[in-house]
Amino acid sequence: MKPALLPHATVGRLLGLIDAMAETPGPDDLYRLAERLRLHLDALHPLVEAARLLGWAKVAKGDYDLTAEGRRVADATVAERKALFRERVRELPLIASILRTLAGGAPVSRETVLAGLLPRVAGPEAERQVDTAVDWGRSAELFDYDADDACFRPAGGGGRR
Amino acid sequence: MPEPLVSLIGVGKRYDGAEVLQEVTFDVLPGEILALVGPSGCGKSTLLRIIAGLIPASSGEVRSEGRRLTGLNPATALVFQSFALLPWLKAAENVALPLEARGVPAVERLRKAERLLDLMGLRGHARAYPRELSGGMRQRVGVARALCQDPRVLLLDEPFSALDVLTAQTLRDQVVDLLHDPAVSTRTAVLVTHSVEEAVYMADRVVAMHSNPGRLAEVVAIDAPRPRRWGSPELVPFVDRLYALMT
Repeated sequence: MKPALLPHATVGRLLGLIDAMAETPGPDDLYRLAERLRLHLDALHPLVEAARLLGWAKVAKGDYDLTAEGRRVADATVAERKALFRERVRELPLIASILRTLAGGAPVSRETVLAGLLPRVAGPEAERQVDTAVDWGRSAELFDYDADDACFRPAGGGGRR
Repeated sequence: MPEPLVSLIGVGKRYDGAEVLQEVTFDVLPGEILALVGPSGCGKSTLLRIIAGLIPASSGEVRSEGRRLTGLNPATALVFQSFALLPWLKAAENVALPLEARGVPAVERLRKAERLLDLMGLRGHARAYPRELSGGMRQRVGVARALCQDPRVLLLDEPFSALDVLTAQTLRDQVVDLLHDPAVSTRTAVLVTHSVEEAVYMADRVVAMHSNPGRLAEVVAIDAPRPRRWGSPELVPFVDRLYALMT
């Protein structure tokens, strides 16, 4: 089985989705959520997929519902949200592999991460996977990324420039 | 009655002979979120810039912390609809920039910028360029940059209107929370918006305006408890009343 790719959802919109999902007490139709948010279902899809991947929402037959952890996220402060996000995100295959290569403490180039996605993912989709990993990893404070030299670094200002 | 932080007394503005604002009088009280709403052309963004001291009033008077305003208003910091970040600076550097102009040492400015980014949930993005950030994140940087200056009054010019629904809602809540957060010194804000729903959701008082020329219709107190829920029935009477005033 191939590991799931990262859905292209920004963290801010993902958290907005969790807040919106929390406005209904139980399962509801996805199309009604889309209507309420004035979003096309195609635009909603990556956000819902991200919520599902993190274990915060369940989706079946066009219905969605938040999991218990999803409801905790909805009620959480900024700091608590970050902690919950961090615990889930570090387990995702692409993020976990970046963290493993960073464990030695040395910077890791974007090229190295892109090469690690081959042969399964290449080209523009590989670039987007890395961009999403950068966004999620920064949000979770798991690692730093510097666009000046296109390198990942362990979180916490190591090699600050 | 607490001393107002900002008072507008009969403020008017003319551009090339055309009257944009006419005889606008109201106070901004400490600790409140005051919203300015009205149709486009009612001069609400102009009014915000007059409060900031970016443009002078043609008539009347602006008082800030009891003194007549003659130039830039040091008690205020402005958040722009367009974010207005410098693309060649990283997030923390953008936030720290106004402190540089005030002569704060480099180490201290960066420490403060990172603390504010942390409050906005963006600590991990301190070294990201604006182009690497989503619209919502860019506006969080914009808010952090304004709060970094410890303004007595935060001025918000349509800050959520360039964002999609999901992002905007989260950010509205975050701004309201920050103004009540002991880690932030700023307690007072003036919000310009074209959305009556947004004004009622966020504000303690709403200044409703007419257009052509821009003038005050009425000041409505939104005495609904917090936290509020978007679209909740207890907010509906305020929304209805404001629409009725403006049309």
